Amino acid sequence: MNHPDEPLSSPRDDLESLSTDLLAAIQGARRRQATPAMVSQLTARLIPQPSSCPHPRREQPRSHPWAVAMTAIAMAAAITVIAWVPDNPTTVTSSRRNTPVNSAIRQTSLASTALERISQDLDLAESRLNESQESLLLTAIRREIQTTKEEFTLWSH
Amino acid sequence: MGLTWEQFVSRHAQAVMSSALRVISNVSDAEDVAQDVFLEILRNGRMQELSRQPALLRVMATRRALDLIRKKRAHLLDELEPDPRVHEPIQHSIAAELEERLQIELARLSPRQAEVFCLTYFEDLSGNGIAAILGISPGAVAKALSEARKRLSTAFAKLRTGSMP
Repeated sequence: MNHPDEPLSSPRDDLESLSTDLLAAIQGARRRQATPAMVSQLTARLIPQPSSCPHPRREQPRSHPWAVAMTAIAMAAAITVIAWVPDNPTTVTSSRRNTPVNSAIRQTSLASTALERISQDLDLAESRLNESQESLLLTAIRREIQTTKEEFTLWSH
Repeated sequence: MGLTWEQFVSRHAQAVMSSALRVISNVSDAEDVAQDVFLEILRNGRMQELSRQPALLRVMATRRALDLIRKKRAHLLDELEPDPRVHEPIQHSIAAELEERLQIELARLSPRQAEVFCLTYFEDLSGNGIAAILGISPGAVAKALSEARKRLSTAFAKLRTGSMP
């Protein structure tokens, strides 16, 4: 492959027939190259950094890390339902336990517990990983869950 | 023994990012495109296969970048609205505007035409090489390239005469 800075030349087709403007636009596009800073930024996004404090490995029987991660995702979906779906007004009764306020508090508590459980599950999954590829995807999942957690925290306050 | 993920990313990040940048000038968008390419490879377990065919990585980046500019076409057009107060834009602005205009016009081509055009002029792939990668005949590549050149030439000619939207 030619270097993008090299002028376009035959046999790269009959470029002379192109208009000056179009040719200039093509040349400009060809000159755009990733700088080392851009590459570093991209690499940092794709390669998880090693943790400074590795998680201790547990000795109990292990399920595959992906099974744990998938469970975490399923729980995240469940939390979304628990936390965001409002009570059905027709279910409100005179019982104090079933007032909307108490119900909301119970849901908030459930969601908090579940979010905490997800974090623990992800810690466990991560501690079992050997392949950085899996670690990368787990990092992405963790980021999503963290975002959900922050949104939930804002909402619940 | 195959490459590790770290080695794969380190080896190909520059090429993938550059291919994305040649189609879409916005650095942040290009970075997103490059990241998506790598994650797709990871998800599909194609790392070892593609480490032996780096041209395919550039094709994937080009294709995703084209998808993105198609999605952002309306937004790009808004950004390009000429400022009527500027009568003598500096040369740099003209060049930048031409490059932006090329992005918009690429988004207006058919996906096949845009892809063949970019792979030919940005990635320097041969007609036969593009045909093999895209699974089409060299004749179809030549036809798509010819149509792309014709449409882009017409669009840029209108730009010069001021009849462009």
